[in-house]
Amino acid sequence: MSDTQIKSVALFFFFAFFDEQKSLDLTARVIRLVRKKAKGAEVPLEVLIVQAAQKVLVKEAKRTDVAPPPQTLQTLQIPDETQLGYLHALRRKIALDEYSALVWTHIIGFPEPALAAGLGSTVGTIRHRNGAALRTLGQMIPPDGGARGI
Amino acid sequence: MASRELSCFLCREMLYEFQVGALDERRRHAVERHLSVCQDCTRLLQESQRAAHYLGTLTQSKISTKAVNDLKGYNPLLVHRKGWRRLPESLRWGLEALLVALIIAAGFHFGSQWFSNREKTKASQVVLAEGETLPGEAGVSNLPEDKLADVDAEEGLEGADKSESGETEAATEETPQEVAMQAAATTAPAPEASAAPVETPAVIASGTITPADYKIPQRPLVLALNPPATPAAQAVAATVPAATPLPAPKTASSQPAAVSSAVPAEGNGFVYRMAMSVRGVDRVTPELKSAIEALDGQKAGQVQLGWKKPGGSYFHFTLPEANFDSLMKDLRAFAQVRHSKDPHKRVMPPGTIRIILWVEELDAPKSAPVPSSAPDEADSEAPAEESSPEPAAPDPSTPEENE
Repeated sequence: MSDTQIKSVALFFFFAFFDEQKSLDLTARVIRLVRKKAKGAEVPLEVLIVQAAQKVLVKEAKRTDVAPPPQTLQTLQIPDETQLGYLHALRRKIALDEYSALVWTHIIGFPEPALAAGLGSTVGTIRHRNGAALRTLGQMIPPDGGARGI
Repeated sequence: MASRELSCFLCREMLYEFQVGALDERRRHAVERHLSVCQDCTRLLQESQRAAHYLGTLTQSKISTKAVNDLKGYNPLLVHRKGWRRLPESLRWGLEALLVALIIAAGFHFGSQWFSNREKTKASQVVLAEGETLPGEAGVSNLPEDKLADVDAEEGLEGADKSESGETEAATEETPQEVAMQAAATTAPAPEASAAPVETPAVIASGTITPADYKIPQRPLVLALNPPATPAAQAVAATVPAATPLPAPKTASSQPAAVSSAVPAEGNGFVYRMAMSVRGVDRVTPELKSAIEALDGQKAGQVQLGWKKPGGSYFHFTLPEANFDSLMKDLRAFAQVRHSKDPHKRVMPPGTIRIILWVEELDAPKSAPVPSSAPDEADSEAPAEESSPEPAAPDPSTPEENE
Protein backbone atom coordinates (compact mmCIF):
# COMPACT_ATOMS: atom_id res chain seq x y z
CA MET A 1 0.00 0.00 0.00
CA SER A 2 1.20 3.47 -0.83
CA ASP A 3 1.42 6.32 1.62
CA THR A 4 -1.59 7.98 0.01
CA GLN A 5 -3.67 4.88 0.44
CA ILE A 6 -2.61 4.49 4.03
CA LYS A 7 -3.44 8.10 4.65
CA SER A 8 -6.86 7.63 3.02
CA VAL A 9 -7.68 4.67 5.20
CA ALA A 10 -6.55 6.46 8.34
CA LEU A 11 -8.72 9.48 7.51
CA PHE A 12 -11.66 7.27 6.71
CA PHE A 13 -11.52 5.61 10.12
CA PHE A 14 -10.99 8.89 11.83
CA PHE A 15 -14.14 10.36 10.32
CA ALA A 16 -15.92 7.13 11.06
CA PHE A 17 -15.12 6.99 14.78
CA PHE A 18 -13.58 10.41 15.55
CA ASP A 19 -10.85 8.67 17.51
CA GLU A 20 -7.31 9.30 16.43
CA GLN A 21 -5.69 6.31 18.06
CA LYS A 22 -8.46 4.00 17.02
CA SER A 23 -8.13 5.18 13.46
CA LEU A 24 -4.45 4.24 13.48
CA ASP A 25 -5.14 0.88 15.00
CA LEU A 26 -7.90 0.09 12.54
CA THR A 27 -5.72 1.25 9.69
CA ALA A 28 -3.08 -1.19 10.82
CA ARG A 29 -5.65 -3.92 10.75
CA VAL A 30 -6.70 -2.93 7.25
CA ILE A 31 -3.09 -2.96 6.13
CA ARG A 32 -2.69 -6.43 7.51
CA LEU A 33 -5.83 -7.64 5.77
CA VAL A 34 -4.88 -6.05 2.48
CA ARG A 35 -1.38 -7.50 2.60
CA LYS A 36 -2.86 -10.85 3.32
CA LYS A 37 -5.39 -10.73 0.49
CA ALA A 38 -3.17 -9.03 -2.03
CA LYS A 39 -0.98 -12.11 -2.41
CA GLY A 40 -1.93 -13.67 -5.71
CA ALA A 41 -5.19 -11.74 -5.99
CA GLU A 42 -6.25 -10.19 -9.27
CA VAL A 43 -8.55 -7.69 -7.62
CA PRO A 44 -7.30 -4.11 -7.78
CA LEU A 45 -5.64 -2.92 -4.64
CA GLU A 46 -8.15 -0.09 -4.20
CA VAL A 47 -10.99 -2.55 -4.15
CA LEU A 48 -9.19 -4.66 -1.60
CA ILE A 49 -8.66 -1.61 0.52
CA VAL A 50 -12.33 -0.72 0.46
CA GLN A 51 -13.33 -4.26 1.22
CA ALA A 52 -10.99 -4.56 4.13
CA ALA A 53 -11.92 -1.13 5.47
CA GLN A 54 -15.61 -1.86 5.24
CA LYS A 55 -15.15 -5.17 6.99
CA VAL A 56 -13.21 -3.59 9.80
CA LEU A 57 -15.66 -0.69 9.97
CA VAL A 58 -18.71 -2.86 10.35
CA LYS A 59 -17.04 -5.05 12.91
CA GLU A 60 -15.77 -2.17 14.95
CA ALA A 61 -19.02 -0.23 14.71
CA LYS A 62 -20.80 -3.09 16.39
CA ARG A 63 -18.26 -3.08 19.18
CA THR A 64 -17.76 0.55 20.01
CA ASP A 65 -19.67 3.76 19.78
CA VAL A 66 -18.65 6.95 18.09
CA ALA A 67 -16.47 9.14 20.20
CA PRO A 68 -17.14 12.86 20.54
CA PRO A 69 -15.16 15.08 18.20
CA PRO A 70 -11.64 15.55 19.56
CA GLN A 71 -10.49 19.01 20.55
CA THR A 72 -6.85 18.42 19.76
CA LEU A 73 -5.17 16.14 17.34
CA GLN A 74 -1.64 14.84 17.25
CA THR A 75 -1.16 12.91 14.04
CA LEU A 76 -4.03 14.37 12.01
CA GLN A 77 -4.44 17.90 10.79
CA ILE A 78 -7.93 19.16 10.17
CA PRO A 79 -8.42 22.58 8.53
CA ASP A 80 -9.01 25.24 11.12
CA GLU A 81 -12.23 26.57 9.63
CA THR A 82 -13.83 23.15 9.70
CA GLN A 83 -16.16 22.14 12.46
CA LEU A 84 -16.42 18.43 12.93
CA GLY A 85 -19.70 18.73 14.77
CA TYR A 86 -21.81 18.55 11.58
CA LEU A 87 -20.05 15.45 10.40
CA HIS A 88 -20.25 13.91 13.82
CA ALA A 89 -23.97 14.52 13.92
CA LEU A 90 -24.36 13.09 10.48
CA ARG A 91 -22.49 9.97 11.49
CA ARG A 92 -24.98 9.40 14.25
CA LYS A 93 -27.99 10.20 12.13
CA ILE A 94 -27.68 8.30 8.88
CA ALA A 95 -26.92 4.70 8.06
CA LEU A 96 -23.38 3.50 8.09
CA ASP A 97 -23.47 2.57 4.41
CA GLU A 98 -24.50 6.05 3.41
CA TYR A 99 -22.01 7.64 5.67
CA SER A 100 -19.08 5.49 4.54
CA ALA A 101 -19.97 6.12 0.90
CA LEU A 102 -20.05 9.84 1.55
CA VAL A 103 -16.68 9.82 3.31
CA TRP A 104 -15.02 7.68 0.69
CA THR A 105 -16.32 9.78 -2.11
CA HIS A 106 -16.35 13.34 -0.91
CA ILE A 107 -13.62 13.41 1.72
CA ILE A 108 -11.19 10.78 0.65
CA GLY A 109 -11.87 11.29 -3.04
CA PHE A 110 -12.06 7.64 -3.84
CA PRO A 111 -13.36 6.74 -7.31
CA GLU A 112 -16.93 5.55 -7.30
CA PRO A 113 -16.38 2.42 -9.43
CA ALA A 114 -13.72 1.11 -7.06
CA LEU A 115 -15.90 2.01 -4.14
CA ALA A 116 -18.86 0.26 -5.64
CA ALA A 117 -16.77 -2.81 -6.36
CA GLY A 118 -15.40 -2.79 -2.89
CA LEU A 119 -18.78 -2.42 -1.27
CA GLY A 120 -20.34 -4.97 -3.55
CA SER A 121 -22.85 -2.58 -5.03
CA THR A 122 -23.32 -0.49 -8.12
CA VAL A 123 -22.23 3.01 -8.89
CA GLY A 124 -25.86 4.08 -8.91
CA THR A 125 -26.27 2.80 -5.39
CA ILE A 126 -23.24 4.72 -4.29
CA ARG A 127 -24.58 7.87 -5.88
CA HIS A 128 -27.96 7.37 -4.32
CA ARG A 129 -26.38 6.96 -0.89
CA ASN A 130 -24.25 9.99 -1.46
CA GLY A 131 -27.21 12.08 -2.54
CA ALA A 132 -29.23 11.11 0.48
CA ALA A 133 -26.32 11.75 2.82
CA LEU A 134 -25.60 15.10 1.26
CA ARG A 135 -29.18 16.25 1.58
CA THR A 136 -29.21 15.27 5.24
CA LEU A 137 -25.95 17.01 5.87
CA GLY A 138 -27.09 20.07 3.99
CA GLN A 139 -30.11 20.36 6.21
CA MET A 140 -27.81 20.46 9.25
CA ILE A 141 -25.56 23.18 7.98
CA PRO A 142 -27.09 26.66 8.22
CA PRO A 143 -27.24 28.81 5.06
CA ASP A 144 -24.46 31.06 6.26
CA GLY A 145 -22.18 28.12 6.71
CA GLY A 146 -22.43 28.30 10.48
CA ALA A 147 -20.24 31.44 10.57
CA ARG A 148 -17.67 29.76 8.43
CA GLY A 149 -18.34 26.61 10.26
CA ILE A 150 -17.89 24.67 7.14
CA MET B 1 -39.66 14.51 -29.44
CA ALA B 2 -40.75 16.93 -26.73
CA SER B 3 -39.28 16.30 -23.30
CA ARG B 4 -41.66 15.59 -20.48
CA GLU B 5 -41.71 17.76 -17.36
CA LEU B 6 -39.95 16.20 -14.41
CA SER B 7 -41.73 15.63 -11.18
CA CYS B 8 -40.08 16.72 -7.92
CA PHE B 9 -39.47 13.07 -7.03
CA LEU B 10 -37.56 12.38 -10.20
CA CYS B 11 -35.73 15.67 -9.96
CA ARG B 12 -34.55 14.88 -6.43
CA GLU B 13 -33.45 11.41 -7.53
CA MET B 14 -31.26 12.98 -10.16
CA LEU B 15 -30.27 15.98 -8.12
CA TYR B 16 -27.01 14.46 -6.82
CA GLU B 17 -25.96 13.36 -10.29
CA PHE B 18 -26.90 16.78 -11.57
CA GLN B 19 -24.75 18.29 -8.85
CA VAL B 20 -21.69 16.21 -9.67
CA GLY B 21 -22.26 16.54 -13.43
CA ALA B 22 -22.96 12.91 -14.04
CA LEU B 23 -26.18 13.45 -16.03
CA ASP B 24 -26.35 13.35 -19.75
CA GLU B 25 -27.32 16.44 -21.70
CA ARG B 26 -30.99 15.66 -22.02
CA ARG B 27 -31.59 14.88 -18.34
CA ARG B 28 -29.48 17.79 -17.23
CA HIS B 29 -31.72 20.17 -19.22
CA ALA B 30 -34.79 18.56 -17.77
CA VAL B 31 -33.50 19.05 -14.23
CA GLU B 32 -32.55 22.63 -14.96
CA ARG B 33 -36.00 23.35 -16.23
CA HIS B 34 -37.56 21.82 -13.14
CA LEU B 35 -35.26 23.70 -10.78
CA SER B 36 -36.20 26.97 -12.44
CA VAL B 37 -39.82 26.50 -11.47
CA CYS B 38 -39.51 24.49 -8.19
CA GLN B 39 -38.34 26.32 -5.08
CA ASP B 40 -38.12 23.22 -2.92
CA CYS B 41 -35.87 21.36 -5.26
CA THR B 42 -33.73 24.46 -5.66
CA ARG B 43 -33.39 24.66 -1.91
CA LEU B 44 -32.41 21.00 -1.74
CA LEU B 45 -29.79 21.60 -4.35
CA GLN B 46 -28.38 24.50 -2.41
CA GLU B 47 -28.25 22.40 0.73
CA SER B 48 -26.45 19.65 -1.11
CA GLN B 49 -23.99 22.11 -2.53
CA ARG B 50 -23.42 23.53 0.93
CA ALA B 51 -22.79 20.05 2.29
CA ALA B 52 -20.46 19.27 -0.57
CA HIS B 53 -18.56 22.46 0.14
CA TYR B 54 -18.32 21.51 3.76
CA LEU B 55 -16.95 18.11 2.87
CA GLY B 56 -14.59 19.71 0.42
CA THR B 57 -12.85 21.50 3.25
CA LEU B 58 -12.27 18.20 4.95
CA THR B 59 -10.41 16.86 1.96
CA GLN B 60 -7.53 19.05 3.05
CA SER B 61 -7.12 16.96 6.15
CA LYS B 62 -3.65 15.53 6.51
CA ILE B 63 -1.92 12.92 8.50
CA SER B 64 1.63 13.19 9.70
CA THR B 65 4.31 11.39 7.79
CA LYS B 66 5.59 9.86 10.96
CA ALA B 67 2.25 8.22 11.60
CA VAL B 68 2.19 6.87 8.08
CA ASN B 69 5.68 5.50 8.45
CA ASP B 70 4.72 3.95 11.73
CA LEU B 71 1.77 2.33 10.09
CA LYS B 72 3.89 1.04 7.27
CA GLY B 73 6.25 -0.56 9.70
CA TYR B 74 3.49 -1.61 11.96
CA ASN B 75 3.71 -5.12 13.23
CA PRO B 76 0.17 -6.14 13.94
CA LEU B 77 1.17 -9.52 15.28
CA LEU B 78 1.92 -8.27 18.73
CA VAL B 79 -1.18 -6.19 19.06
CA HIS B 80 -3.89 -7.77 17.07
CA ARG B 81 -3.02 -11.38 17.13
CA LYS B 82 -2.99 -11.18 20.86
CA GLY B 83 -6.16 -9.16 20.70
CA TRP B 84 -4.96 -6.95 23.49
CA ARG B 85 -6.37 -3.74 22.14
CA ARG B 86 -9.63 -5.40 21.35
CA LEU B 87 -10.25 -6.08 24.97
CA PRO B 88 -12.45 -3.65 26.85
CA GLU B 89 -10.52 -0.90 28.50
CA SER B 90 -11.70 -1.84 31.97
CA LEU B 91 -10.49 -5.38 31.46
CA ARG B 92 -7.14 -4.14 30.19
CA TRP B 93 -6.76 -1.91 33.22
CA GLY B 94 -7.66 -4.77 35.48
CA LEU B 95 -5.16 -7.09 33.91
CA GLU B 96 -2.45 -4.48 34.07
CA ALA B 97 -3.22 -3.78 37.71
CA LEU B 98 -3.14 -7.47 38.42
CA LEU B 99 0.25 -7.77 36.75
CA VAL B 100 1.64 -4.90 38.77
CA ALA B 101 0.24 -6.39 41.96
CA LEU B 102 1.84 -9.73 41.17
CA ILE B 103 5.18 -8.07 40.55
CA ILE B 104 4.98 -6.19 43.84
CA ALA B 105 3.94 -9.32 45.70
CA ALA B 106 6.77 -11.29 44.18
CA GLY B 107 9.23 -8.56 45.05
CA PHE B 108 7.99 -8.47 48.63
CA HIS B 109 8.14 -12.23 48.89
CA PHE B 110 11.66 -12.55 47.60
CA GLY B 111 12.74 -9.50 49.54
CA SER B 112 11.54 -11.00 52.79
CA GLN B 113 13.30 -14.23 51.95
CA TRP B 114 16.46 -12.31 51.29
CA PHE B 115 16.23 -10.58 54.65
CA SER B 116 15.55 -13.83 56.45
CA ASN B 117 18.53 -15.45 54.77
CA ARG B 118 20.59 -12.49 55.77
CA GLU B 119 19.55 -12.96 59.39
CA LYS B 120 20.40 -16.62 59.16
CA THR B 121 23.79 -15.75 57.81
CA LYS B 122 24.40 -13.47 60.73
CA ALA B 123 23.33 -16.18 63.13
CA SER B 124 25.61 -18.67 61.48
CA GLN B 125 28.49 -16.30 61.88
CA VAL B 126 27.83 -16.15 65.59
CA VAL B 127 27.67 -19.88 65.73
CA LEU B 128 30.87 -20.24 63.80
CA ALA B 129 32.82 -18.47 66.47
CA GLU B 130 31.37 -20.68 69.14
CA GLY B 131 31.17 -23.85 67.17
CA GLU B 132 33.13 -26.99 67.46
CA THR B 133 33.82 -30.18 65.68
CA LEU B 134 32.85 -33.32 67.46
CA PRO B 135 34.10 -36.34 65.59
CA GLY B 136 31.75 -39.20 66.12
CA GLU B 137 29.23 -37.06 67.95
CA ALA B 138 25.83 -36.24 66.65
CA GLY B 139 25.48 -32.86 68.22
CA VAL B 140 26.30 -30.54 71.01
CA SER B 141 23.71 -31.91 73.32
CA ASN B 142 25.65 -35.14 73.71
CA LEU B 143 28.74 -33.37 74.89
CA PRO B 144 29.44 -32.76 78.56
CA GLU B 145 28.60 -29.21 79.29
CA ASP B 146 31.96 -28.31 80.70
CA LYS B 147 33.48 -29.47 77.46
CA LEU B 148 31.68 -26.69 75.71
CA ALA B 149 33.28 -24.20 78.01
CA ASP B 150 36.65 -25.73 77.44
CA VAL B 151 36.43 -24.87 73.82
CA ASP B 152 36.56 -21.21 74.52
CA ALA B 153 39.60 -21.42 76.66
CA GLU B 154 41.33 -23.51 74.11
CA GLU B 155 40.81 -20.90 71.45
CA GLY B 156 42.64 -18.42 73.52
CA LEU B 157 45.33 -20.78 74.46
CA GLU B 158 46.11 -21.61 70.90
CA GLY B 159 46.00 -18.08 69.72
CA ALA B 160 47.98 -16.80 72.61
CA ASP B 161 50.64 -19.37 72.37
CA LYS B 162 51.34 -18.37 68.82
CA SER B 163 52.47 -15.03 70.04
CA GLU B 164 54.70 -16.58 72.59
CA SER B 165 58.29 -17.27 71.97
CA GLY B 166 60.61 -20.00 73.01
CA GLU B 167 59.11 -22.46 75.37
CA THR B 168 55.52 -21.51 74.67
CA GLU B 169 55.81 -22.47 71.06
CA ALA B 170 55.64 -26.05 72.11
CA ALA B 171 52.20 -25.44 73.48
CA THR B 172 51.15 -24.09 70.11
CA GLU B 173 51.74 -27.45 68.59
CA GLU B 174 49.56 -29.14 71.13
CA THR B 175 46.00 -29.99 70.43
CA PRO B 176 43.38 -29.02 72.97
CA GLN B 177 43.16 -32.55 74.15
CA GLU B 178 46.86 -32.58 74.78
CA VAL B 179 46.59 -29.40 76.73
CA ALA B 180 43.91 -30.88 78.85
CA MET B 181 45.91 -34.00 79.41
CA GLN B 182 48.92 -32.00 80.37
CA ALA B 183 46.89 -30.05 82.83
CA ALA B 184 45.46 -33.26 84.21
CA ALA B 185 48.92 -34.62 84.74
CA THR B 186 50.05 -31.66 86.77
CA THR B 187 46.91 -31.22 88.83
CA ALA B 188 44.00 -33.32 89.84
CA PRO B 189 42.95 -36.00 87.39
CA ALA B 190 40.30 -34.76 85.03
CA PRO B 191 37.77 -37.08 83.52
CA GLU B 192 37.32 -34.69 80.65
CA ALA B 193 40.83 -35.40 79.45
CA SER B 194 39.77 -38.79 78.20
CA ALA B 195 36.66 -37.53 76.57
CA ALA B 196 36.19 -37.05 72.88
CA PRO B 197 38.60 -34.58 71.35
CA VAL B 198 37.33 -31.10 70.84
CA GLU B 199 38.55 -29.06 67.95
CA THR B 200 38.15 -25.38 67.79
CA PRO B 201 38.57 -22.57 65.29
CA ALA B 202 42.08 -22.22 66.53
CA VAL B 203 42.64 -25.76 65.48
CA ILE B 204 41.30 -24.84 62.10
CA ALA B 205 43.92 -22.23 61.82
CA SER B 206 46.62 -24.66 62.76
CA GLY B 207 45.54 -26.95 59.97
CA THR B 208 44.13 -29.80 62.00
CA ILE B 209 40.78 -29.61 60.28
CA THR B 210 39.36 -27.66 57.44
CA PRO B 211 36.57 -25.17 57.74
CA ALA B 212 34.38 -27.56 55.81
CA ASP B 213 34.68 -30.05 58.61
CA TYR B 214 33.81 -27.51 61.17
CA LYS B 215 30.54 -28.50 62.73
CA ILE B 216 28.09 -25.86 63.78
CA PRO B 217 26.16 -26.69 66.91
CA GLN B 218 22.44 -26.76 66.59
CA ARG B 219 21.68 -24.61 69.61
CA PRO B 220 24.83 -22.73 70.41
CA LEU B 221 23.19 -19.48 71.38
CA VAL B 222 20.79 -21.20 73.67
CA LEU B 223 23.61 -22.93 75.38
CA ALA B 224 25.61 -19.79 75.70
CA LEU B 225 22.91 -17.38 76.75
CA ASN B 226 20.56 -19.62 78.68
CA PRO B 227 22.55 -22.46 80.13
CA PRO B 228 20.98 -24.92 82.53
CA ALA B 229 21.06 -24.09 86.18
CA THR B 230 23.11 -27.10 87.15
CA PRO B 231 26.57 -26.52 88.54
CA ALA B 232 28.14 -28.29 85.65
CA ALA B 233 26.34 -26.02 83.28
CA GLN B 234 27.89 -23.03 84.94
CA ALA B 235 31.04 -23.83 83.15
CA VAL B 236 29.34 -23.73 79.82
CA ALA B 237 30.31 -21.00 77.42
CA ALA B 238 33.07 -19.64 79.56
CA THR B 239 35.83 -17.87 77.82
CA VAL B 240 38.92 -15.96 78.79
CA PRO B 241 39.00 -12.49 77.39
CA ALA B 242 41.90 -10.18 77.78
CA ALA B 243 42.38 -9.32 81.41
CA THR B 244 42.70 -5.82 82.65
CA PRO B 245 45.84 -6.12 84.71
CA LEU B 246 47.32 -8.99 82.83
CA PRO B 247 49.56 -8.31 79.90
CA ALA B 248 48.27 -9.69 76.68
CA PRO B 249 50.44 -8.80 73.77
CA LYS B 250 48.27 -9.35 70.79
CA THR B 251 49.47 -9.54 67.27
CA ALA B 252 47.72 -10.15 64.06
CA SER B 253 49.24 -13.56 63.81
CA SER B 254 48.01 -14.57 67.23
CA GLN B 255 44.38 -14.52 66.09
CA PRO B 256 43.39 -16.88 63.34
CA ALA B 257 41.74 -15.13 60.48
CA ALA B 258 38.91 -17.61 60.35
CA VAL B 259 38.05 -16.86 63.92
CA SER B 260 38.57 -13.15 63.94
CA SER B 261 36.27 -12.74 60.98
CA ALA B 262 33.44 -14.35 62.87
CA VAL B 263 33.46 -12.61 66.21
CA PRO B 264 30.07 -13.00 67.85
CA ALA B 265 28.06 -10.11 69.03
CA GLU B 266 28.61 -8.96 72.58
CA GLY B 267 26.24 -9.88 75.35
CA ASN B 268 25.64 -8.14 78.64
CA GLY B 269 27.70 -10.44 80.75
CA PHE B 270 30.79 -9.71 82.73
CA VAL B 271 33.88 -11.37 84.09
CA TYR B 272 35.93 -10.72 87.18
CA ARG B 273 39.62 -10.39 86.47
CA MET B 274 41.95 -10.78 89.36
CA ALA B 275 45.69 -10.74 89.75
CA MET B 276 47.87 -11.21 92.73
CA SER B 277 51.59 -11.43 93.26
CA VAL B 278 52.88 -13.95 95.71
CA ARG B 279 56.17 -15.50 96.63
CA GLY B 280 56.35 -19.18 95.87
CA VAL B 281 53.62 -19.68 93.34
CA ASP B 282 54.13 -23.41 93.30
CA ARG B 283 53.44 -23.54 96.95
CA VAL B 284 50.46 -21.24 96.96
CA THR B 285 48.71 -22.71 93.91
CA PRO B 286 47.43 -25.92 95.54
CA GLU B 287 46.20 -23.93 98.51
CA LEU B 288 44.36 -21.52 96.29
CA LYS B 289 42.85 -24.38 94.35
CA SER B 290 41.60 -25.95 97.53
CA ALA B 291 40.16 -22.68 98.73
CA ILE B 292 38.32 -22.17 95.46
CA GLU B 293 36.93 -25.66 95.41
CA ALA B 294 35.86 -25.28 99.00
CA LEU B 295 33.72 -22.36 97.90
CA ASP B 296 32.08 -24.46 95.21
CA GLY B 297 34.29 -23.04 92.54
CA GLN B 298 34.22 -24.94 89.27
CA LYS B 299 36.84 -24.73 86.62
CA ALA B 300 35.80 -22.95 83.46
CA GLY B 301 37.73 -23.57 80.37
CA GLN B 302 39.94 -26.31 79.16
CA VAL B 303 42.64 -26.17 81.74
CA GLN B 304 42.47 -27.17 85.34
CA LEU B 305 42.55 -24.77 88.19
CA GLY B 306 46.03 -23.55 88.86
CA TRP B 307 47.37 -24.29 85.43
CA LYS B 308 51.02 -23.62 85.61
CA LYS B 309 52.34 -21.10 83.19
CA PRO B 310 55.75 -19.50 83.00
CA GLY B 311 55.83 -16.96 85.74
CA GLY B 312 52.65 -17.93 87.51
CA SER B 313 49.46 -19.93 87.75
CA TYR B 314 46.22 -19.48 85.94
CA PHE B 315 42.78 -19.95 87.47
CA HIS B 316 39.66 -19.74 85.39
CA PHE B 317 36.59 -20.80 87.28
CA THR B 318 33.00 -20.09 88.08
CA LEU B 319 31.76 -19.37 91.55
CA PRO B 320 28.44 -18.84 93.26
CA GLU B 321 28.03 -15.16 93.61
CA ALA B 322 27.25 -15.52 97.30
CA ASN B 323 30.74 -16.87 97.90
CA PHE B 324 32.53 -13.99 96.26
CA ASP B 325 33.25 -12.19 99.49
CA SER B 326 34.53 -15.34 101.06
CA LEU B 327 36.79 -15.89 98.12
CA MET B 328 38.20 -12.40 98.35
CA LYS B 329 38.80 -12.90 101.99
CA ASP B 330 40.66 -16.14 101.34
CA LEU B 331 42.69 -14.64 98.54
CA ARG B 332 43.74 -11.65 100.59
CA ALA B 333 45.14 -14.04 103.13
CA PHE B 334 47.79 -14.82 100.55
CA ALA B 335 48.48 -11.44 99.04
CA GLN B 336 46.94 -8.24 97.87
CA VAL B 337 44.41 -8.85 95.15
CA ARG B 338 43.81 -6.56 92.23
CA HIS B 339 40.52 -7.21 90.57
CA SER B 340 38.09 -5.59 88.23
CA LYS B 341 34.68 -6.36 86.84
CA ASP B 342 34.77 -6.13 83.09
CA PRO B 343 31.93 -6.47 80.62
CA HIS B 344 32.03 -9.55 78.49
CA LYS B 345 29.92 -11.18 75.88
CA ARG B 346 29.37 -14.26 77.99
CA VAL B 347 26.29 -14.17 80.14
CA MET B 348 26.45 -16.41 83.15
CA PRO B 349 23.44 -17.92 84.86
CA PRO B 350 21.91 -15.87 87.64
CA GLY B 351 23.82 -16.23 90.87
CA THR B 352 26.99 -17.37 89.18
CA ILE B 353 30.03 -15.33 88.31
CA ARG B 354 33.09 -16.13 86.30
CA ILE B 355 36.53 -15.28 87.54
CA ILE B 356 39.92 -15.26 85.93
CA LEU B 357 42.68 -15.22 88.45
CA TRP B 358 46.32 -14.83 87.61
CA VAL B 359 48.81 -15.58 90.34
CA GLU B 360 52.24 -14.40 89.44
CA GLU B 361 55.57 -14.92 91.01
CA LEU B 362 56.57 -11.82 92.83
CA ASP B 363 60.23 -12.16 91.97
CA ALA B 364 59.69 -12.91 88.31
CA PRO B 365 60.79 -10.32 85.78
CA LYS B 366 57.95 -8.11 84.74
CA SER B 367 56.93 -6.91 81.38
CA ALA B 368 55.07 -3.86 80.36
CA PRO B 369 51.40 -4.00 81.26
CA VAL B 370 48.71 -3.88 78.69
CA PRO B 371 46.03 -1.27 79.07
CA SER B 372 42.88 -2.79 80.36
CA SER B 373 40.69 -0.73 78.14
CA ALA B 374 41.90 -2.16 74.88
CA PRO B 375 38.73 -2.43 72.87
CA ASP B 376 39.79 -5.38 70.81
CA GLU B 377 40.45 -7.44 73.85
CA ALA B 378 36.92 -7.19 75.03
CA ASP B 379 35.72 -8.83 71.85
CA SER B 380 38.54 -11.16 71.35
CA GLU B 381 38.61 -14.65 72.57
CA ALA B 382 39.86 -14.73 76.05
CA PRO B 383 43.06 -16.54 76.12
CA ALA B 384 45.01 -13.65 74.84
CA GLU B 385 46.16 -13.10 78.39
CA GLU B 386 47.35 -16.61 78.45
CA SER B 387 50.03 -15.74 76.03
CA SER B 388 51.59 -13.42 78.49
CA PRO B 389 52.52 -15.19 81.62
CA GLU B 390 53.72 -12.04 83.26
CA PRO B 391 50.94 -9.81 84.44
CA ALA B 392 51.27 -6.18 85.08
CA ALA B 393 52.66 -4.96 88.29
CA PRO B 394 50.22 -3.52 90.76
CA ASP B 395 49.66 0.12 90.29
CA PRO B 396 50.31 1.80 93.61
CA SER B 397 48.78 5.02 92.47
CA THR B 398 45.32 3.51 92.04
CA PRO B 399 44.96 0.79 94.60
CA GLU B 400 41.32 1.60 95.24
CA GLU B 401 40.38 1.13 91.66
CA ASN B 402 40.93 -2.56 91.76
CA GLU B 403 39.89 -3.03 95.25
